[in-house]
Amino acid sequence: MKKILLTLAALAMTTGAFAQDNVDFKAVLAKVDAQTNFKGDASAKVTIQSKKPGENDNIMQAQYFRRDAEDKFMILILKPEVNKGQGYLKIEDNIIFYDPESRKFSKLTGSGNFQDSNAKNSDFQASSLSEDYNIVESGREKLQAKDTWVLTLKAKKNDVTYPKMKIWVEVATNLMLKSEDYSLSDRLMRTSLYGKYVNIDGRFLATRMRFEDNLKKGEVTDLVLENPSLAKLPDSVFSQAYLEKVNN
Amino acid sequence: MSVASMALKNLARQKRRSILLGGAIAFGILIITVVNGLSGSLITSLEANISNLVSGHIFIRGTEKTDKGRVLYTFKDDKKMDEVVNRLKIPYKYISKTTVAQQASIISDFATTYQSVTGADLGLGSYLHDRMTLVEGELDTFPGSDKILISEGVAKKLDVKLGDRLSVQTDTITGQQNVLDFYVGAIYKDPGVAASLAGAYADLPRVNQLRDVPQGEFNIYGLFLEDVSTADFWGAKLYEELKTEAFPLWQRGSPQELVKLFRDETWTGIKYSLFTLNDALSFIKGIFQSLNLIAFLILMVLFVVIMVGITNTYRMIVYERTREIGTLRALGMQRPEVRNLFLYEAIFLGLGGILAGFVLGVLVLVGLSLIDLSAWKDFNILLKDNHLKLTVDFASFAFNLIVVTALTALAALFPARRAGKLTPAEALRTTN
Repeated sequence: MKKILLTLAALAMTTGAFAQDNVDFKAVLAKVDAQTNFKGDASAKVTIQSKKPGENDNIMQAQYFRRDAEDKFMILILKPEVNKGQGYLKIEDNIIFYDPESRKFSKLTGSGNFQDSNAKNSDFQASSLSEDYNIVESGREKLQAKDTWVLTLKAKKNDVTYPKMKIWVEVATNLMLKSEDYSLSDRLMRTSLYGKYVNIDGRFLATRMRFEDNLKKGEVTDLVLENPSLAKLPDSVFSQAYLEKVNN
Repeated sequence: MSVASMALKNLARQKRRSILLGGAIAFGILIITVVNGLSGSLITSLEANISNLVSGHIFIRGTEKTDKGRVLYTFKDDKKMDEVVNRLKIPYKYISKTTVAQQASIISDFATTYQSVTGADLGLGSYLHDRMTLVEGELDTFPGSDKILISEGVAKKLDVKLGDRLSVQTDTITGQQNVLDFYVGAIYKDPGVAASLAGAYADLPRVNQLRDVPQGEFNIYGLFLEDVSTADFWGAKLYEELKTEAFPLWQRGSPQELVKLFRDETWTGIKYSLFTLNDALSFIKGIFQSLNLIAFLILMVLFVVIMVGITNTYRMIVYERTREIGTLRALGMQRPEVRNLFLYEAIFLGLGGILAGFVLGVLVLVGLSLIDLSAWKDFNILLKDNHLKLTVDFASFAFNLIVVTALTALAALFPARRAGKLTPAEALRTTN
């Protein structure tokens, strides 16, 4: 009886391994990108709540506009009053920050933190995991009772924010539920959790995200996206002139 | 008796009036001497203290732009640079080759702070080794280690002591996130408000690893000169020599101005920028220069008031001494001599006031320099050994001497000319 059980278990494991081997993880990664990138424009209101030990919570609201097909985004800060009118504009490989107080534009990097939160500027751009990373390891795990593929990714290029990532992709939906972001020295720097997605016209928008800093204990940022819309946006929204105009 | 000695006697004759007028001039000069001395003292100490914290007095930085528009700071051809520097016979004490991680997060178990981490040679014989004022630890064992040198203020903020671990997080030169652990190897005396300029220091290969700079390369080539005041002179010479050597160069400017150029322009290969400590401190120096200018303008306003006073006083004097002028003219004194008598009086009054004001100003500065300001911790970057450095600006004294003397003479010119024009008969007929 014991032998039979062991044989069955071994068979089950082998079948599992075969099943895993047969999965085209490149295609999975491509699906993760494709499902979360929009063909046309998208916009939403975003609330960012940052918690740091010993400090009051910092709550910020912004209007978030995306045009994934052209790799552009625009974020316009609405609250708090002190940051109102500040803007982030991504055009091609450049992220430009506008400060209405000095009326000056400055260039930012994708790896920079968004408004002193644990979100990175690059977190707001279209997903390009399949373009930026190679899969070096794969596995299958349960994450909060959900069946997930666990993929370890190594950057193809040396200019992406994180040289290594470990991502948990739900088997049933091909949506990323969690990622661990590692430094060049292979230290875990950040854990990102994607708590909720909404389906808009066949594409998925993560509406609840949490970024936990693994280096700075207790630092957490929650992002909530509301009122998502796929309405077409005027071209002028993705321009420096727009940032100046809304502040006049 | 000469006209000059008569003028001196006249001043002595009217002591009270002379003291009041000379005192007003002295007060103005006292103020400007103290302001110039203080700003000179603060600039000199700042320059000297900063030059102990930064990695040179003349800096050359290589810049490369990637296809994606990212600016990489790199320096590969240091042998050629060494050759040029030696050929020019630049009197330097030390050449530093450093890699800097700007605005790195320095993280302890309790807190985080953001400042630059400079990778440099901190071992025996290095400039920083000799010039850093340590309060704890030592630098001898830094080469080849993962030790970090931080300021007292940072140690306090992060709540760390010698041997404690710190994680340093920053971008690599290509923009990837990286983090490495360092251990507190030494703590230096807090430079107060300049802490952000100073930052933390570690061994060059370790910071290269953090920034993913290939070992053997670095970001900035720095020259510590024998005399920091020659930085601009040698900077200009070196720049011209590099130009003739066909080094691709950026125009001269402050690091802030250059960063704008790097952002806006596109180029291929490595292009070098050269700036001096003065260029880097131009903003701070500008504040002190503005202070000097404001003090000078206030002095000028003050002297306009004093000039009106002098003109009125001399009109009164001429009026009071009309009969005396008549007598002098009757005894054979010529018109120009009478005019000069009053002009000399004004010039002597001005000179006396200026000298008195200057001496008093120097005494105030000496007094201030004797005060122990060790409690003024945040601003000790502006001090020398916890005291204000006694600095007397002789050049501006000479300038003030000429300007104020000329103004005083000008103020007295109109009444003096009027006195010179009086005829003896007319003057003697006067009844006052």
